[in-house]
Amino acid sequence: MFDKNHKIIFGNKLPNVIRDVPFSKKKLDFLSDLSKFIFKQKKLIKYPEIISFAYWCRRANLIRMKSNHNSKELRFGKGLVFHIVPSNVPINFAYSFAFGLLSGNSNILRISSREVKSTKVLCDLIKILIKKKKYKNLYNSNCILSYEKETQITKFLSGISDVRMIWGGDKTINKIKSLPSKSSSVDISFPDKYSISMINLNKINKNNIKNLVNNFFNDSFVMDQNACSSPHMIIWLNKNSKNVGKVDFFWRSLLNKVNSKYIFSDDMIYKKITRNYENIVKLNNSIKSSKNYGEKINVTTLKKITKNIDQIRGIFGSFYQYYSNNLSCLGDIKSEKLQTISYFGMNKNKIIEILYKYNLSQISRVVPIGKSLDLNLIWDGYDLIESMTNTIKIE
Amino acid sequence: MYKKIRNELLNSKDIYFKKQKKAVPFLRGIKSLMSYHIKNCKPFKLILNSITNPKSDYGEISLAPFIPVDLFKSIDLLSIEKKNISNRLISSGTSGLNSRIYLDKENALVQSRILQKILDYEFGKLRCPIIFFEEGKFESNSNLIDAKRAAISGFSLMSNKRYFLQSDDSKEVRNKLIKIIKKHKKEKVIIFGFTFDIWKRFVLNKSLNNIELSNCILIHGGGWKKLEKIRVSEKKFKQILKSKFNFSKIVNYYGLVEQIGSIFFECNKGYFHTTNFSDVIIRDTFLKSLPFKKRGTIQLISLIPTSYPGNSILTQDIGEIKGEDDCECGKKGKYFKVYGRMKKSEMRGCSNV
Repeated sequence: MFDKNHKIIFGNKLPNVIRDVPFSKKKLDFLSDLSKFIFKQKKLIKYPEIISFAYWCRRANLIRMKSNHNSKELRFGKGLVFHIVPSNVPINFAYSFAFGLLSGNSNILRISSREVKSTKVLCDLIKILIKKKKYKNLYNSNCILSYEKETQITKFLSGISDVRMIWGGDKTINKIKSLPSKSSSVDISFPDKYSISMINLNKINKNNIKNLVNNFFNDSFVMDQNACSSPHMIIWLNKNSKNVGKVDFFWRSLLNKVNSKYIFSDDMIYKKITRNYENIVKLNNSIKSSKNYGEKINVTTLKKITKNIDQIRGIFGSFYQYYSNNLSCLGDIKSEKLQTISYFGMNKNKIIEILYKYNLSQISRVVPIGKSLDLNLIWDGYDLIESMTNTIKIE
Repeated sequence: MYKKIRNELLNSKDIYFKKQKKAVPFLRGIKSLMSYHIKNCKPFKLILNSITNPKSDYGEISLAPFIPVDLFKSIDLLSIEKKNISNRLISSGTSGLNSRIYLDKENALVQSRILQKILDYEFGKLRCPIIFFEEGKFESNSNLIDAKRAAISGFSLMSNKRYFLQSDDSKEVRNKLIKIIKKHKKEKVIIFGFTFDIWKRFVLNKSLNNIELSNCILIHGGGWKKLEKIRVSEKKFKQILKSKFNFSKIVNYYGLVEQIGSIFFECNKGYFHTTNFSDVIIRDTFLKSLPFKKRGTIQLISLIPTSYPGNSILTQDIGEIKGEDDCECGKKGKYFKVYGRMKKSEMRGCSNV
């Protein structure tokens, strides 16, 4: 089952399966130690994604997560979680690992054999920490290994795990799901998704626009606009003759940000215009106008929300926009692919009202702009702690 | 309009006009072709309408709109009715997706007439035996043509006899080659193959060593990716083949299936030249046209495509225009270098494990 083509980063490739309660002291200690350990490494400042992971797993935040998950039932981790993590979302593996730990499970992670620098750096730190004597149990019950897309190993791990946590596109998910698993096991899969933003034009002013633009930049450009929660379309609310100028101002401010923080290559621009032109054809006659900010940001204004809107994806800074005054357009985006609506200048209660009104039951996240990429214990419709634990009914 | 311009160019003896003579009719021809495709190809119309002001006029060729060549992989782009398709071409894509190019009889005829004209000019109306080093099989009874078959049928315009050496048995190939060369030792013989196939057959596989090929012209092209992988430079390729087999001439060509018939031959100074039927523009990362002597992405322009809107396409190749009309070889036109494929960037995102 394990041939030569795999490399164990740390741990036992057949981990001891230990079923623990969620948020146990040992796991909180380990993760908060990891957080401190990362903050101590001064040279890691050049990996903002590692720093934000450290920030996420600092003790105060872990305790907050624990108290948010105030479950009265008695729960234990389901057992062994097999994580299939994406290679091109740096540090995603660390969150996935932490989810497995916090839910009281043993873990085995497959990371891509294509080496991403930040992944390697963080793996090395985890390895140093987990090898310490006080974490011996964790060392023996968790494992990170890397191998090429080797179905034999995947098949074996699929067969022995209690949870398969599958990140990646629809193709990967279907492939993994086709492999036999234990009859009691569960799959937590994160398929291809589509996300949008909503901005209330009345609430933009010269004091908050800089922040809004920075936040929007992080949501979209940090992952090359290719993450499932990166926005592809902005719905602008309450446009009138007085505030319409803010739209162009927003895009120009974003352009400034892009100019100072984002590097394009020939290949990226090539892929971007190819995607843009494919989208033009898909949109047929629904385009009102398009504006091109030096090939760095492309903005296409839509006449209407088309049925295939969830297939109209930008990449490397290509956006679609639509003006609406009453949000009834949300009823037109009834797609099972719609994942995140990120918003600005809107009231939370108003949004809940809209979700009910248009029966947007399939979306999984409504978050302020700037938080689109924040991975959390409630993700993509799953309460991860609940999904990865066994609940015991006691009367 | 474009037909008239093209016919005039076909009737002219020269295929390398100076800029003053070429620029005006070429631009008029391209404009006329663009409006033809806008009228006849709806997706093309949608794209052009949204990227340019349809009424906008351009005074020079570098301002003409272009589409990325990969678009032929995802969208069926054709300016003829489906029932008039006579040939379908597919590119030799290694990434799984191929370009699909649709020709009607007229386009097929025009491309072969123009190609014939370019070949006759370059090789002095040579008609001779051609040996095709064809790796792998190809079906002859299909209207589906891949890049290899397109090249074979194109270069066959110069042949009075065709040989195909496509056996896996090295010894058999060697014996056959010796026999053919012996039979035609008093004439010129063309040996044709994709660059990487030639490298594999003549250099990596040593079974053809010590065959004298001094009456042979080697024509090779394409297959960039593979050659890049094993890091053989253009110079080394030429040097080794010349010294091992004593070819009378080694000629590299550049062209894309997506612009079939539009072919560029390397001159004796080592540069590709644009003909009266073609043009080249180099663009920077943000698609602005670059001055001569700057490296960037190659855009190819051709007067040939009529059944599909492929007159102005952005390639994924990196090149550099060295100058115009003043190449030391004596031929006019823009002269340029092709350095290979653009570097692929690692894309972030969820959807790829």
